[in-house]
Amino acid sequence: MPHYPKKPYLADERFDQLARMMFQLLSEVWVMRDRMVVMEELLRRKGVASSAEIDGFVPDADLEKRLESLRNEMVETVLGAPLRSEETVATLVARGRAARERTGAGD
Amino acid sequence: MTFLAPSSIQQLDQPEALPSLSQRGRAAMQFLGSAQRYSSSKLRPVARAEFESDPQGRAVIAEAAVATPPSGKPAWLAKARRIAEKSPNYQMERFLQRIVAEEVFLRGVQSVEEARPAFERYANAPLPATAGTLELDPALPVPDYYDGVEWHLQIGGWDGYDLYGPMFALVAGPHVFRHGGYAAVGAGDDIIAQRMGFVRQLPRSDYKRVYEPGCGGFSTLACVHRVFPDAELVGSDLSPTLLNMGHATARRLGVTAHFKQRDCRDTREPNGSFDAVVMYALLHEMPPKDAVATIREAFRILAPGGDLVISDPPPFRAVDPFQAVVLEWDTANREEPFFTAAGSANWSDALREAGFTDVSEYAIGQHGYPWITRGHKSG
Repeated sequence: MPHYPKKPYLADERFDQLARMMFQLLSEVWVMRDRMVVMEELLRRKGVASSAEIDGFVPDADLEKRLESLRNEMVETVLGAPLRSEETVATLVARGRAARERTGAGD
Repeated sequence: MTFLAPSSIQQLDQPEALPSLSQRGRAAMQFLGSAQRYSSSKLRPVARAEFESDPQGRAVIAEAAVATPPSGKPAWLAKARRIAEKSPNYQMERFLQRIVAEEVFLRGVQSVEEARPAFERYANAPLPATAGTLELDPALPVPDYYDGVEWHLQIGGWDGYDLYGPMFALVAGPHVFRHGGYAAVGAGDDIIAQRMGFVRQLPRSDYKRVYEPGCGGFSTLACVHRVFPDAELVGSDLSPTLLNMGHATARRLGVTAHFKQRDCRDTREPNGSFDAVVMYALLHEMPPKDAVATIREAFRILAPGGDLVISDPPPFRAVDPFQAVVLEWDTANREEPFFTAAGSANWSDALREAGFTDVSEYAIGQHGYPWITRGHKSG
């Protein structure tokens, strides 16, 4: 493909790079959301679960705990991106341990 | 020289015969269509309103109203570009235009490759026989202006990927280009309807032989067939990939058409052998002197009483300054090396100089597009 023009589209070449990342991230999010809609439709057609059941689902205490853990981790990952340079081995180990306990990976 | 989705392919073929993308490929391409739609239909009007309310923008608009030459690049264009570029909304709109233009090919090829066997089966499927022909000429010299250009950011150029034909017709066309909103095509424009509207600018109803230089595939000729079902169709192009696809599409639709690998400046057709010549989105893809040679060649192959109809992006003199900035942008950003030169040209003058009479020019859509230039070869 032809090279990118030398002049950035936004205020700075770094903004262009960030915007390119955001564009690809949005694309990935959409691909996943599309896939979830497809999965819900397949579940409905096969009589496994309806969209209404998914919407009306109330997590029990254990699942609520798992969801909260995942949610906090995602928020920390995204909103904490500017603080990434402050990560230490200890914080990384703690993250890994939390994920392992949640999924049972490596057992 | 364009190749877009003839919607009739999908209407004619059995759905099961059409290759499908993976969920990921389909969703990713559809995302590009939505991004382009947002860019052109939401962000661009905001940027336009900012331009038109800016005192400097208003001054340029006033200048353009009284000081736009009949040909040549308007002096106000550079000022208009600087004013437009001040707007973060304009910057983001242009950024989105660029990244969608890139990703149409990057994602498009990747998506087709993920489902390659199905696309190969489609491309190689037996087709109905027609009396149509395909003449390729591997020894045809490639013009300097064409050689090595990756038109519209298409990786490797028109012949850079063996499945570009089905990628355009079945992937990029229906998922991205159908929303309009790129280059001179207005937001929400129906590109198939635009071609039909263009063909209907031919003034007669009894054409027997119609020639299209730079036909690409079978998009415009398919519209010619719908309007003039009895006319013999001949199309030429430099790209063997597009000619092959055009030939296949015509056969798939059961239409007899002849495709030839030719230089549009020298078609090798006999003098006076056609009664209509159509050129769709061709002249801006070559330097103006070659476009003039193409117009002269059309005059030569037209019989007395014949007609030439051209559709191309509008000249700068036919649009407002903001739209002129949008059009000029393609030159450096969408691999359209001759867009600015074409926008500065005057095809009506070129037609008159070639010998055409009854020359007229006008727009049949929003923001000056499609821009029609037509002329008659006196009998």
